[in-house]
Amino acid sequence: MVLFTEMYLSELINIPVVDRLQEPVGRINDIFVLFGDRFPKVVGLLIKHVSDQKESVLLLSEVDLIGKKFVVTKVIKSRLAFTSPREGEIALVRDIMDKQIVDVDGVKVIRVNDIKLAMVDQEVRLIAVDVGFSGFLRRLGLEKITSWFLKLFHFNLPESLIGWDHVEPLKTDISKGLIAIPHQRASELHPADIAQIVSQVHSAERTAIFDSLSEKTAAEALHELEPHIGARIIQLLDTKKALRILEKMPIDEAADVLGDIPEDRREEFLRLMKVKKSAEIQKLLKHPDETAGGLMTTEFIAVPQTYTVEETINYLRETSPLAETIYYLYVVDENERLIGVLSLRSLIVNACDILVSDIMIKEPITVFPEMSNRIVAEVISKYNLLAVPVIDKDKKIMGIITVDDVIDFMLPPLSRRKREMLG
Amino acid sequence: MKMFKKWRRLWFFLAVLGPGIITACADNDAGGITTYSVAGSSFGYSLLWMLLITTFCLAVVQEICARMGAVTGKGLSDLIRENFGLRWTFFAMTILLIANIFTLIADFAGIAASLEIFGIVKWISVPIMALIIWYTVLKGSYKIVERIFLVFCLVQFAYVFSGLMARPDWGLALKSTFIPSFSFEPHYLLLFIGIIGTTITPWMQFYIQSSIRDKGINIKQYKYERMEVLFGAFFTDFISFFIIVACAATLYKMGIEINSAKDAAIALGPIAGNFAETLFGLGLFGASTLTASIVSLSSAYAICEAFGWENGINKRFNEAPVFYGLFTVLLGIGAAVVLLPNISLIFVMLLSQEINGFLLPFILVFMILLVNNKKIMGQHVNSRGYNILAWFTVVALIILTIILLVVSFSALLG
Repeated sequence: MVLFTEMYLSELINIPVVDRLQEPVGRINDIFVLFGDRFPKVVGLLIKHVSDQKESVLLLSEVDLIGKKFVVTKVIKSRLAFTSPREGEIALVRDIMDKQIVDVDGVKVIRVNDIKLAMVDQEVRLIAVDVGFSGFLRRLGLEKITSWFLKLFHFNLPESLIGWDHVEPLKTDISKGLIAIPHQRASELHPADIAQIVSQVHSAERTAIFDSLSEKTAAEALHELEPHIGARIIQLLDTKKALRILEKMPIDEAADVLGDIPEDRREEFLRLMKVKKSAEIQKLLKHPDETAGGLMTTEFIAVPQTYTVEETINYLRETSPLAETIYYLYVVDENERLIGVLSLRSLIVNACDILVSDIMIKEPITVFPEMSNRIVAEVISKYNLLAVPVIDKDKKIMGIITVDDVIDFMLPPLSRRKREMLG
Repeated sequence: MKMFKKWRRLWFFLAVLGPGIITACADNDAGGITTYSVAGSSFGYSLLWMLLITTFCLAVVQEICARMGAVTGKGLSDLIRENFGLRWTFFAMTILLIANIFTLIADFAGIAASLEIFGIVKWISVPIMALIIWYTVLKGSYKIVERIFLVFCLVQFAYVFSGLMARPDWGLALKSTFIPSFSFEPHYLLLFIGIIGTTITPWMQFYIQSSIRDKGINIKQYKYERMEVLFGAFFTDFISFFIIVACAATLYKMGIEINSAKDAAIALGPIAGNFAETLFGLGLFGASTLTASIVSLSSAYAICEAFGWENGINKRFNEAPVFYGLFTVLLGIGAAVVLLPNISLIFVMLLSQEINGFLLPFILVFMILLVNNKKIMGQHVNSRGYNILAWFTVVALIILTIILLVVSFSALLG
């Protein structure tokens, strides 16, 4: 077992390594850890040798003591065994220090100022990252003097350590051949939180995060993002994965994302998708973004006026997985013209044999595909609707717009416009 | 549908077309206009040759940053932090902060000087403009601000026409452009560094790389962006060239030394006659305000990104206190220095460009090391010719700074 209590990475880097006879061996350049445990285990030290300035790995099993000023090995210099870095090991300075990581609890992206190592379960482990001001000062070599100065005024430097079990590293450099760091904690997050993290990191890392998510989570996270960011991610993903994500998205969201990617790529996706879905999306793409037509989805539930309550409920059971909202059901006549709307509530409280045309609300509120987003939002907000149907000139129902599609337009516009600085 | 597609393509084109052109326009800000005007009025055409060289250097340096943005999808301060560690980042950010504070002071001096032409004293104009910039940028209409002041910048085209109508000595002008001349006079050397410092500034490198990242331009789309960046560099110096020519053909010929914005406006006389001052004032006002908005905001972004502090105008104040604090303090310092009594606005504008010139090599060294790192740039590292030009700029600037210091000291010692 190694003698060690706790230290920061910045304090360890560049300290001398000596053998048991105090003969100098080299200096620590980096520290290797193995991922897998909750707190990753330190497995080796990257040593720059005094003799030839070359680098090689000293396994931790060869080390007797890690102290504040130096590291001592168990045997004499000539009997030390060195290895080279193994695949799957993460170098703390190279891969974690100064990089961005995700704070899963605070849902934000932070930069690692320092890394704390400590003895846990008989092993030297990475236990926390320092993202605060004291880590910042320590790296500059100013921590002691600042804290001494602050003590004169009875202040203490606040520590802001985040436990390693509360963060998620971002894998960035595929070219280095690193193993993928598991993102299981990231996928446990709410899709809206994932979206918030994704909008804060760089494009390569975005793709890495999306790669590691399940298709369902990815689809949900993707539609929480601005369509143009979503479009960039979809283009960078592997085509197969992108297709599966697109298929899992509601049609209107998929159309929004596809609307923002270059024509040739878009057509490729549409060709590869399921025929029915692709046709629906193409229909939606014809409408300009800013209108009711661009906002609507074609996944809604319409029943003929001749249906009874029981028939409608049975129909609902068969089709509901597809529909975006089932709180409203639309009643159409034999020419597919919209003649009424039915709430889920009235469907449940009425007897089985009653015709839907008897309990529906006639002449429902509707919008036209050419209407602007803003007007649609006003209509939905004025009549307190969960969804509003879009009809064409012949009163045929084309699609519906749900309240979550327009909620952005109802919020004060500034909060949306401020999303990106210059882009 | 057809029409719609066409508009969409145009929109995409314009969106990509942003960074290079905006940087180009903001480049000829208060400090820029003043430096070129003083260069033309004090030394006639004789500094034109170095404009030719700086254009090449500008194009190379800007292209390096744009390429790094497209390849890595990261900002320059991100890259410095991730590859040089915290100490070097601290050093680079200190350099950037000093350079940007001086740029901001120059731009507020430009705002003060331009509005003085319209009879508004600086005690009123500077605080009000600082508040307007602060409010509009933070309240989310940054894009609108940017567009409005870009239009103001078009006024600078007046220099092209004025330069043509002033009947300059074209033979001498062309000769001076292609055949270098040199002088060891401190004033000449200062302007020399000032011209480099105003054309290639530290903030531009951070800004252009961030905007390319924010636009999500990747290496495939980059060939268009590259053209835009190169065009932007040419465009900046096209205007600069005519500022010097117009000043040389009017002020230098008449033997007028520039002591205030009104003097500098004389160079627009050949085209605008009695309106010269108005025109000059509008151009200076637009460029100064645009640059002040960009520099204050982009400094706050660059520094917060480097150190991992929360940033972004979509955050609330208590979520990103350092970001908002920096932005506010920077604007405040810029405005406050200009309000010091008895300060010469022209002097401040010139000085800031010279300081930018001194500080530029430090940032350039970081950039060259980054762009040549195969781990970061892969196959898109610099070619040898590029590196020669880039290192040439660094070495030339350092040598010039040393010469200047030696000459100034020996002048002081008599």
